[in-house]
Amino acid sequence: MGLLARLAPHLPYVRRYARALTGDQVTGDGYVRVALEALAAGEAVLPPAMTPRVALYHVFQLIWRSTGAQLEPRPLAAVGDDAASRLMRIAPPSRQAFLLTALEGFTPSETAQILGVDFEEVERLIAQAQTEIDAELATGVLIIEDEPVIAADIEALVCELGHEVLDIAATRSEAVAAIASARPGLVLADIQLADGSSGIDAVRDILSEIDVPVIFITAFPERLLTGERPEPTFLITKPFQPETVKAAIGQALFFHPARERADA
Amino acid sequence: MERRDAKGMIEQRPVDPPNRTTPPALDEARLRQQAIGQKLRQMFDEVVNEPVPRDFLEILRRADEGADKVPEGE
Repeated sequence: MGLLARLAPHLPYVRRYARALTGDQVTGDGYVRVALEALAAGEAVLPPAMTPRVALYHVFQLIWRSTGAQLEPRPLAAVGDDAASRLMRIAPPSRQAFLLTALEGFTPSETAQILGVDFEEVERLIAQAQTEIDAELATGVLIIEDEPVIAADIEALVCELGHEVLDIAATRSEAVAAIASARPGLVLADIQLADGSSGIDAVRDILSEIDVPVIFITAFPERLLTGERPEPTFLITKPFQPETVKAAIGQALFFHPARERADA
Repeated sequence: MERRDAKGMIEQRPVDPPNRTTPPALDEARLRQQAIGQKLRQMFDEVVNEPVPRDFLEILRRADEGADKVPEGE
């Protein structure tokens, strides 16, 4: 089977990876083109032990690592607060491991083949990527929750992620007062509050003042499905799995465009 | 936003290796990274769905034709 038949189905995905990795489609396509030309000229070969898709990414990575990764003007490469800029602030080796597994869906073993490293190194790079992402996303958090035990659980979880809890508000008026004293980069909100006030109203008040990602954590998700749900919001149902909340926090912060930094 | 990749079947789920236990912290890191990866896939959906640059296919086609001619001493 020829190169075209083997590789054509995988080109859209290697272009996606190249775009995410380099931060730019034209740049990314440039490296893909060089990789394909190297294959065509016989200067690079698809390792027969690898599947065509893994082999294509492997050749791409050899080209990019020998040129692109070296040329990257870090840490000035990206100053924006959008997701693409955040990606560029992850160091190249851990960015590769992160994107190959989380974006491209490769297993750690396949990722090891692509990067030409062993399995343990891939695990180390994934852990390193998480450390970098956590540091990138660290911010101040406002918790709106009237049950002290649950508030303490959420606080512990938030602190584990490296965030700072600015305040815990038990009512709508406390929540509004809290953002006046310290501006959060993330709000975690219950819906039914102590004095009968509504977390939805509290969040609406907050969003009229500041642009902040909000995650609702509630035993009454149906109250958010009535069409009066303020945007942008995420929804987690109680009782919650800590990992689910952590994953939602990371997602909300990574993709929020104008987030306040903890050190701002 | 819920659109899937046109060639979604090529997407893979990480499942290996079966005979190995990963540390819990690493499992959690991967779970959190999957959550970001899922949104990244939505973000880059259009890249996957747009046509591949024509010259990419040309490079491979020429290479295949050249390989066919090699035995004839081209």
